[in-house]
Amino acid sequence: MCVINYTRKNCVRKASRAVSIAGLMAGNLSSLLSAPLDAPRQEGAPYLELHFKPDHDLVTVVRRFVADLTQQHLIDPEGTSRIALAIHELLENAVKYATDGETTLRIDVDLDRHPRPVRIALCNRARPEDIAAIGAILDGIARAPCAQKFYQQLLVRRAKVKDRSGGLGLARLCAEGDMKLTCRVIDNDVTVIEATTSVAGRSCS
Amino acid sequence: MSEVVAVTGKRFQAAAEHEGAVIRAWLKGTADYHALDAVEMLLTRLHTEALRLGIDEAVIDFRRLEFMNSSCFRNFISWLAEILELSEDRRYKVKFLFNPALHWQDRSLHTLRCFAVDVVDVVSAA
Repeated sequence: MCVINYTRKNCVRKASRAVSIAGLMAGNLSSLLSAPLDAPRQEGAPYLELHFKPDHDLVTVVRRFVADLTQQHLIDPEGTSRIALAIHELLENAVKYATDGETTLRIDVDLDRHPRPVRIALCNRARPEDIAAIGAILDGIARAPCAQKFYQQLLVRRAKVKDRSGGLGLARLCAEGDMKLTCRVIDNDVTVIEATTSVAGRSCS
Repeated sequence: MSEVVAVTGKRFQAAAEHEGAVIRAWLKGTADYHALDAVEMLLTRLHTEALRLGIDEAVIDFRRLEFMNSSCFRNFISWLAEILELSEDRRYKVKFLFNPALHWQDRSLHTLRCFAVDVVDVVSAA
């Protein structure tokens, strides 16, 4: 099942109803993604929310869909590219690690501020060891002088390892996507990863 | 010009050819989960032939590559690490051609250049 919610500023009432429906269908996963951006949310600020069970084919489909949509509204190819990178890496992680496959992706954009804050939030259930691995990556990034430095060190460590273990994706979207990452854990098994950044684009509205 | 390797996946294609002291490769499509084996095969074969032929340079054309995920990207890191481990007389250069309209390419190739600055050159070629 896939639920798509998408709002622009003139669709507040419809959006509120859509969020309620999505919250019910998503087993309340989506309601966990309603935390505001780094400032109180403007009423009616546009967002996109997907609740679905992604597979590897859908990851690319959703990346292209979000990139097209973001580009139409922000008209910022560089920012759109960074958002698309984050969508792809976060969703691939969800495909690999979500214990029941259920995933909610939400993208919020504040069109009233310049540069425009963007929040990408991904919510799914995960095993304790995978949640710990996410925490280790984020701790490493936080302790490093900068995300790029941590990323380079991680690349050196992983270069000679022949397995296909993950972890590069999160570091990549921090270093190459210029994203700030946080992770919340709810009820021991639900992770909410939030990637935030700003894009310089203007609105086409 | 002789073919070194060609790989075709669901949404990903790549090939490499040898001419003189250079191997030229191109990648096209989406290098995602489905392309992981293909990318690994491409680079393994390319590196083996590069050493056998004693080339000076590998030119890798990314311009038609829509996207590459971190797992496929990691194969490039491993390949560059193997080149860096070679003695000076066996080491070859790697030149990446990128499409400036695909912004991820500029950033990801910058990462590869930082990783192997003595080996990697990055050229914008729309």
